[in-house]
Amino acid sequence: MYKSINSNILHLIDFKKVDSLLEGFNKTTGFVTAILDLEGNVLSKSGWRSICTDFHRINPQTSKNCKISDTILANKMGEGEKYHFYKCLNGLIDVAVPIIINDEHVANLFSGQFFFEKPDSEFFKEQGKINGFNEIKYYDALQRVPIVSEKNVRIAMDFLLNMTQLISDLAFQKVEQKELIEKVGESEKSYKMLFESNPHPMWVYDLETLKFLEVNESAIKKYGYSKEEFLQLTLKDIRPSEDAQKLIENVRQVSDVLSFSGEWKHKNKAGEIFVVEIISHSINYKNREARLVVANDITDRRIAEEKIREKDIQFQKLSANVPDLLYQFTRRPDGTYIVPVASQGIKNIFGCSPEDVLEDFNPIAKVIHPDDAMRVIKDIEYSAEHLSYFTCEFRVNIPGKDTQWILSRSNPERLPDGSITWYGFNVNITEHKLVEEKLIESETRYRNIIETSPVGIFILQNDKVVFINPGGEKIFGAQTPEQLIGKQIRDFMHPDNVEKSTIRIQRLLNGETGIYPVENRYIKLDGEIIEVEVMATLLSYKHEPAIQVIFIDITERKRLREELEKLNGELELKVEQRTAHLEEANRELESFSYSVSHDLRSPLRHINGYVDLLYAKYKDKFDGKALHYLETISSASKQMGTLIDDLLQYSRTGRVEFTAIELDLNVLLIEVMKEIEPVLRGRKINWDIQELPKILGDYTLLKQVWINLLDNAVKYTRNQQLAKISVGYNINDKYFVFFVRDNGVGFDMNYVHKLFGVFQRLHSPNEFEGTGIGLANVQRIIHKHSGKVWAESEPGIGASFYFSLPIMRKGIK
Amino acid sequence: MIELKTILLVEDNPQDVELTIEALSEYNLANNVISVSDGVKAMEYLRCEGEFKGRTTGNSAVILLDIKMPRMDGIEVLEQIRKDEKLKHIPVVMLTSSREDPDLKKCYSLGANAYVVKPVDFGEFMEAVKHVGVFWAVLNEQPPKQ
Repeated sequence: MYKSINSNILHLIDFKKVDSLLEGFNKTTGFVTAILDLEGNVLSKSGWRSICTDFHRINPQTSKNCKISDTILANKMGEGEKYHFYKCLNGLIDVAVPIIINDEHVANLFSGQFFFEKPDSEFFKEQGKINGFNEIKYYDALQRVPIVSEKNVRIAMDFLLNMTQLISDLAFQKVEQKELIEKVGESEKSYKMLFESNPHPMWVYDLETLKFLEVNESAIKKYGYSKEEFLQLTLKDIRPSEDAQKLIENVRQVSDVLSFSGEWKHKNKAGEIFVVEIISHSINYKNREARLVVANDITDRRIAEEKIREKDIQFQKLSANVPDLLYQFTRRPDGTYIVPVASQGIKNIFGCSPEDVLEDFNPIAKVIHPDDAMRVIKDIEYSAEHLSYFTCEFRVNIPGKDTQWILSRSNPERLPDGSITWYGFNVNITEHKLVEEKLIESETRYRNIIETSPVGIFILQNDKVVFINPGGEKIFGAQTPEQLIGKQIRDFMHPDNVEKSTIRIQRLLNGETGIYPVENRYIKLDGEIIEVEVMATLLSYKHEPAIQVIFIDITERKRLREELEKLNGELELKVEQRTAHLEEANRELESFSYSVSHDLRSPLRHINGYVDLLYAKYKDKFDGKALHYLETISSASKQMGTLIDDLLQYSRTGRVEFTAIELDLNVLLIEVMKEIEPVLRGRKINWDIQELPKILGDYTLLKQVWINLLDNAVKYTRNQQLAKISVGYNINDKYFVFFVRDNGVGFDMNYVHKLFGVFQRLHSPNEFEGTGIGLANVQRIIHKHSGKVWAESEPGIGASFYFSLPIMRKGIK
Repeated sequence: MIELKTILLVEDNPQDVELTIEALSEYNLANNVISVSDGVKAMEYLRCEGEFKGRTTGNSAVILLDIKMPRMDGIEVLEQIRKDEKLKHIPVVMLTSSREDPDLKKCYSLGANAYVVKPVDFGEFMEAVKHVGVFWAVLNEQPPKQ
């Protein structure tokens, strides 16, 4: 500020007055003076010596000396000394004093062009000669230079300095005053302007009378009254009449210097009502207690707010039926997340309400699948950092609901406070994901099948192979698919089959079905011909119609089939032969049996017959010993006969045709008893025979079983005083288990395994006669009936023989 | 007085012939027995041919016919008898060594009247032969003569 004043101050000083002052001073004292600014410009001067003005400052050489000397002297001013004396290069004394105004060194006061003592005439003579000065005139000028004492110089300088100082101070005061006046005027003007041209209506009213004391342009415009009209009105006049009471109370209450009186209804000259927000400040206006009022018309704001509210409702209504989530999501400068706006769909997406997430992201964070959470945050942060479009798919686990897939998309923008906010939406894409997953899964599965299948698969498009799987490559003996891609049918098909194949493909393309599978012949890359079974279907490959051919190498299969057929034929022949052999063997066996029975029995019969005849006719002629021999021969031959008969029967049991009919065992048993009647003669037996069931079996064979078992029971009880034989059955699962129990001699269980063997006997012929074939025969017959036979015994106590037979199914007759 | 007719015994085995005749002699039937050693001779006898041409004895009351014989066996003989109008009414008893004889069934279907298994026990054999001989030779009524 001072700087600006100082730079001005030299202009403010009236240098004409200074000049005349210095002129007068020069005339009365003979001192020459000058005021130079800091740049060396001469601001004022008086009474300069002719030696300087006519000689030194004219001649180029001496003028140079003058300039140098001025500068050296000026530079001395900064050294703090009040007076500075200097002998100039041209030989005169100069003196300089700084002029300081308001502590600022603004100019210098120079005096000089004199000597303190008598000048050196030789020096000046020489100087005049060098510079070509007129010797007389120069000498004359030199003579006019006064010789003064230093003391007088100081007094004169002090006087001049004080004078200059005084002039400067006056000038400065003038400057300061002028600036102050300007400032005051400006400030008043600004305030006036602030009031007058304020866009808001403003006025000042008298607190006591409520009369308007001042109003601004905006108020005039807004309320429709002219300034003169306004100043006749009171506050009450711009209020609806119903508000009058309220107004007075409010005015009374206002005690604060500054007060916000809230929203009021105002009325303009035309009677239109509008809403204003009132701010007032107490002031003293022209010695009256008053209040300055700013009335801010908020009708538009209200309308805007109303509109926003309506938009808000609209948004809520619009979005209420959207199952998806529309949102505004914000990342605050501190890195926390909030959701300032969310549609009702948030319930479906995150299971919480819009209010839950207004100030808290946690309700959302805690339902995001833990495996996805880090990725979601990373994506958000990336979008925030780069302000890039946000798109993310993640899983959400709402308690009690299945995991759902959510797609979120939004656009970020930066807010003035450094927050980032996104506007976007979340959609439930679970269905889509599932379908996608299934599709990928099924695609993978089918690709897998095709890749790993040993079956060959290739695709023909425009008569050329465009795809072949590894299985197909292998069948053709190729190392890479490229060896086959691009080939045509005739390149790898046996020439004999090409024509038929081409026709078949044409038929397939015409939509005919049921053509495949067919057998065909392909040629491998190494030229080997293979038999294949081919299946072809239409499909779309890379969006173009194509034919998928599936083929299996059946060369080996065919060969095996042929071999099998051949083997089967051979086998059949063998079976026939074997059957023939068996039949032959059977016949032989039968004829053998016949021979045995016929041929062996005949000589036996003869032996026995003649022994009997011998005995009958000549027994008187034999002594006792001879008779004993005859008896032994007879009995041995009879025993041999029995043996042959039993053996034949046993063999017949094995061969005989099995004819199962329904048998009433009670009836059968009666016939058996008749059969064994001879052995019962002379025996006393206690029989206990249960009622027996009906079974399915062969009459002759089962009769033989019962005969054998009962005959045995009778035989082995013959040493008992009272023989007891019981016959009965139990049911065990699907079997009848029959038993024949006796109290005879029994047998040793150690040999039970031998009991049912052929020719196996547990008793000597001396004790009990027998051939050892009977029980073997029983076993053979029961096995033929799908049953089992077994025995239990305790020697001396008795024996039990069991056999099982399947229970006859109902309905069989 | 019962008219005794002949019994034709067709048997190749001389021991069996002897024993059979012995058995029949027990009932005094032995004299009526005509014995031939095979089927051919049996047919010659029945048809009064060959060495039996002009025989005086009438038709046999019963034929005891062994099955297994040389030249013509018992089955063939039975067949021819049943085909022959003059002979077909003569009772025929088949004699066999065993019940196992596969031809037995055939014998019945061809019209054998009975069969006898020749037992090893001579006593039993005698019993069997006696009964057969008596029944057919003595008791059985002949079909009326034409």
